Amino acid sequence: MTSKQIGFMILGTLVGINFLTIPRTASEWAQQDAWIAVLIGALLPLVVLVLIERLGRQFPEMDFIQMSQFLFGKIAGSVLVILLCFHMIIGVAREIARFAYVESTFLLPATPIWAISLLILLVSLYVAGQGAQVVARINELLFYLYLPAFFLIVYPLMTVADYTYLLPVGGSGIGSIARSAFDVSLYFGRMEFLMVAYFMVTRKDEVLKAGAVALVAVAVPYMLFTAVCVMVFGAEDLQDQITPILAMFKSVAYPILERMDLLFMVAWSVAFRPAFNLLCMSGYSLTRLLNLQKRKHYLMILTVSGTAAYLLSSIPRNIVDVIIYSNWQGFTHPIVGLGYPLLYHLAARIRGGQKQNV
Amino acid sequence: MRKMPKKPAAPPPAPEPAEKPKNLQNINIPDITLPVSLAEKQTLLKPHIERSHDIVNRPFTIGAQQPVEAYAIYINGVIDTDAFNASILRPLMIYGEDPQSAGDQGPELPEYIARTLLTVGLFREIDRLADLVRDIYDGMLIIMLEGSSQVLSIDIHKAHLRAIEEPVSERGLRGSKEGFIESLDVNISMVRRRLRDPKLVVKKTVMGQRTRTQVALLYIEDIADPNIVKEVETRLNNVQIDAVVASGYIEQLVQDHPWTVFYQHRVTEKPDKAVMQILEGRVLILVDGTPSSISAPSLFVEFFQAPGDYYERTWIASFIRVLRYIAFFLAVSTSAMYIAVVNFQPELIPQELLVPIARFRNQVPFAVVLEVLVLEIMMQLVIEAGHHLPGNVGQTVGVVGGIIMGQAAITARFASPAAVIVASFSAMCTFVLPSPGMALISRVLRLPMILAAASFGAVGFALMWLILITHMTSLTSVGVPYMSPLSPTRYRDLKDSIIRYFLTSMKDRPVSIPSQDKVRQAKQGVTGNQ
Amino acid sequence: MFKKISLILIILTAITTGSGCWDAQDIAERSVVVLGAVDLNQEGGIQFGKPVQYDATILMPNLYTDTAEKVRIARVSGVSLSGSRDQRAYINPQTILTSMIRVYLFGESMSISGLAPVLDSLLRNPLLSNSVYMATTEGQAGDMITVQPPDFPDLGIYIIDLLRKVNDKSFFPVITLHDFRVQSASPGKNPVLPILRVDAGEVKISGLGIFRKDKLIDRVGLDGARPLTLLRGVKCKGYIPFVITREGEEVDRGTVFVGNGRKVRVERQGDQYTFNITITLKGQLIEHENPVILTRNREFLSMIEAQVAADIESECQTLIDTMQEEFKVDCIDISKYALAKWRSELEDTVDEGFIERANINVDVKVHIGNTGDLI
Repeated sequence: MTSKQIGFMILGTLVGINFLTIPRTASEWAQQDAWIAVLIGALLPLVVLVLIERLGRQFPEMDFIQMSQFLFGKIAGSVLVILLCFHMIIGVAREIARFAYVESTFLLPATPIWAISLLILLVSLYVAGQGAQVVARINELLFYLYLPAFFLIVYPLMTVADYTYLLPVGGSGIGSIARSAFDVSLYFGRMEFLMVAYFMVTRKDEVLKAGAVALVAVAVPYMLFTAVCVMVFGAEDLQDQITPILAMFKSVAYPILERMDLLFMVAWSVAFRPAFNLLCMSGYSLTRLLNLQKRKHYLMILTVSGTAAYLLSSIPRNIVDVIIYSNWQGFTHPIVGLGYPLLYHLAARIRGGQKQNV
Repeated sequence: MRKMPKKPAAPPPAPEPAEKPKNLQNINIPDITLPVSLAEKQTLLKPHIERSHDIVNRPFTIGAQQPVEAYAIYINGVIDTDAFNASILRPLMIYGEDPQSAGDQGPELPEYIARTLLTVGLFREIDRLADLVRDIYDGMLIIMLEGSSQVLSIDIHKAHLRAIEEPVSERGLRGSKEGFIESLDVNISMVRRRLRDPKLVVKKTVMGQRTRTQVALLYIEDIADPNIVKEVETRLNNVQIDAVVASGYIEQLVQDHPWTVFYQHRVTEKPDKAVMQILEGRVLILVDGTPSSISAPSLFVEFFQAPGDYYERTWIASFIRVLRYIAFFLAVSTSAMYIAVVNFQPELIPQELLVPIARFRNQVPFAVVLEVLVLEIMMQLVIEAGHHLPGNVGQTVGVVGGIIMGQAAITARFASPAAVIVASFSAMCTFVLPSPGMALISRVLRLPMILAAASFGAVGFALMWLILITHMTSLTSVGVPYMSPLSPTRYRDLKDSIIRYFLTSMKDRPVSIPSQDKVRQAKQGVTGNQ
Repeated sequence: MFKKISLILIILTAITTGSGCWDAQDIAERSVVVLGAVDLNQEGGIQFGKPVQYDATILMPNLYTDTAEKVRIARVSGVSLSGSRDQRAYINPQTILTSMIRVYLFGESMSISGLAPVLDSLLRNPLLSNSVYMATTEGQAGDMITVQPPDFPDLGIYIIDLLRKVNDKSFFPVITLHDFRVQSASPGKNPVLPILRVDAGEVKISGLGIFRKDKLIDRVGLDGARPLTLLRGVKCKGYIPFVITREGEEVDRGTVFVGNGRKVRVERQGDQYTFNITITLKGQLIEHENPVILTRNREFLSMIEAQVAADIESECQTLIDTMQEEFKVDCIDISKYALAKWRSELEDTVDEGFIERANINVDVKVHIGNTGDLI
């Protein structure tokens, strides 16, 4: 895939159901400075991007599986690959579960969660099954399709927003901002998928720039929407809302299309990009690891991974469990996102940065 | 799983030149050299033509002083009888007045008389029985002579040509009103008239073992990508079928993805459109007997373009283009959206509209899905009936059927007014699309959309669109991504996709279609007064 | 083989998920509710072993066109607001579509006891828009719903239009569920709600209710609603009549039609907070009785502006005094400017005695830009 496409994949992987919920997390400690916490929290994926890009430069001819086995040996390297794949599958499960509950809340209240989850999974399998190139193009296309959505904040901004809710800037204190920034950084997780995707890019020298642009494209809208949510509700009132973005759209009656929250949710129903992106990456990695012929067995691997993700997504019993488990799982993102590249860097240093022809 | 195209991507071995007919395996015709004796030639030929009573076997002699026995063999009604009498028989039969005797020529007689006596353009000499039989059934006039194994195969087909007129399915307000007809040569001439580039290559081949249909490949040598040309030629050569009756056969036999509903080749009946395709680096396929052309590779956005777009001003053309995309979306989605909001998410409708809709729905005893499906089927039947009935009758059926049936359905409480509006609006949107193929596709795609919306409401509708977009993104046309320049995004080509930007800014050929010469127009110079 | 198995699995799954249609319900089988009213239950009673607390009355347009009644009104009681819906199953053959409610009325006693418990039910409903209008009533809201306005299809449409457009014709705020929720939950803010009453068989707006967070504590009439709205800074357009007197004699009488704006500056000296509110009114002169030609007497227009400004200033100052002495809540939404500067210090105390101790000054500026078709 091209470097531009990897940028869109980064964007798509980071922006899923998180988009609807981030203002609440960001304002929990930082209060009116939630938008500052969002900007600071976006630094973590930037660090992960740089680490992975630097690592990839040392092994330009290898892919992730080859690099893992070269650095850690066949068995340990394979174990690391499998663990990363498992981590991505858990990420898929988390995304499916959260999406299913939000859709059940707003659009399909009587439909059982298992049916909605299954629907999302099947569609994710179909998209991921088309291959990385098609997945990357879908990410690109969906980005452009969602671009007009950002203009939706103009109406609440003009009608019900109160700028005094954002003041005084910095008034919540550095400690609170830092605490919220850490919570927000967990939302920017999943960059670790780049460990696999980086090696699929043809022009690797452009990945850093494309990734940085993608991160800005994620951080700025997050910041804007968070700021507007704080202006519309105030920091206190944000805390008991699961999806403040939708609540913001619900607070005003838009001209002509009154229920913009429902329309937005309908459009956002297809935004489970993290699910099919991560499924594709894990499926590709496992297929390569098992030395299977991609054409024949890729779909089989995807089906198995998808089934595992579905079963994992069925574990939470209710929305409260989903939020709690999701928060726990969020902690694994910095561990894996920072830990993996650092570990590989260390191993590469020990090995002396030797490249082995594979 | 993305299916790999069945056709090999590697370059094929170089095909034989198209001027020479392909040496296809002929059934039960021994490929032997013809004997010198005329009687033996007749004996060999007889089993292959005696059951066809429209084949004429006309004996005559060449020359009067030393007459040479000859036969003229042809299919009655296929050749131009006037040309046969005036340009073939007459000069041969009065040759005898010439002091040069025909018998002096020996085995070279066929070549000699072809050069000196026959006043026809196209001919060739053949000496194989298989070629002889094939040429007879290809409509050639055969002149067999005593004393030579060579026979003359002369092309004097009678031109049964339809008048050139505007294609019914591709009408436009501005631009050329000409359309292709069934004659391959006339179609090629129409292209040549518009594209007088010496680099325009016309390669002819024959497809279909029994129908032996002539097919021509057209491209501009220094624009078209050689890999794409080779790939198209390979696919055509790999087709092993007994009959190619129309271009649709070829289209389906050489496409990348046979299982999809989307056309991967653009079909047009208009020569000006075809020329535009060639100029963008595409390969054009013309088939004898079919008044349309196929171009490859083709992109999704092309099906929303019309030649008239380039004759209009930018703002007008762009407005109409955007309207077409909206029409496609509405044609596919309106019925599904109606089901989704009435059955699942009524909150999406403003309250002032919801109560009247609910009141009318209350009077209809059927579920909304059934109501919509019945109306859709009725609409499709009316459209199909209108297509197959002649001229004015078809139009009348369309109008009367639509209006009266719609009104009757409301009165009889088979359907609510909102559902009738939705169904007729969807149908209207399909007619906005300039490509008949895309209009058909929108009619077909409506059904899975309706089923998705009936199952999961607006969520099902949105997910079905995601599946559809994913499917379209996975398609290729001769290896070129089908959704280009939308996905992958080629920003330069977006000028002529959803909108039609100023012609002066379209200096290069589309990047989405691989081509050699990218420059279309040079930088514009200063205006007249400077 | 694998492809066939996959295809079979997919088809089976599709049939399974597609056959459910769990959420499918025809709109014709639902009752569209346009107006809801919530009251404290007066009659008492026990449901499921617990005391009944609330009465919920809804108004639904009748979907059957060949019936005498155009609307249906249904009242149920319950232990909680949403709990009362359980009773609807026994009286209403169709499914109630509460998500289409456009206006909620709350009875007087309900408003006095506090709306927070009821608000939770409304806000927790994901399908109910937060832009529904809210109003409180004199007496029981459920009784008001039975009034049928003569020139409107139903009371719901009448009240929706009445509330929606009032701020284009008068200085009167429109309050939505979102506004009420935010203002009752945020420190330093307190909501107001329109008060409706039945007068000679018609429903009319009679004033504004003052709330301390979610509880109704006082009210102002229509005369008080104007300065309250201007001081709150709610953007409206309205008519302001004026009478100019000089040396005891009436010089002119007329009306201006203006829109309002507000700017608030806050200063602090120790614990003393001073608010300077500037109200700007811009609009046009639409009538006056004195036949003076304004171009020949340019000061006359300034006189009109000054008179209107003085009148409004006086009204506002009276209201401020009442607010500080009687209401003792910030009902003019100015504390937020102090919070914007000193949030950490004031957050915990801004709702306790802050507004009573503040100095509040009002300055009104009037600009008449247009005089209609006459000069």
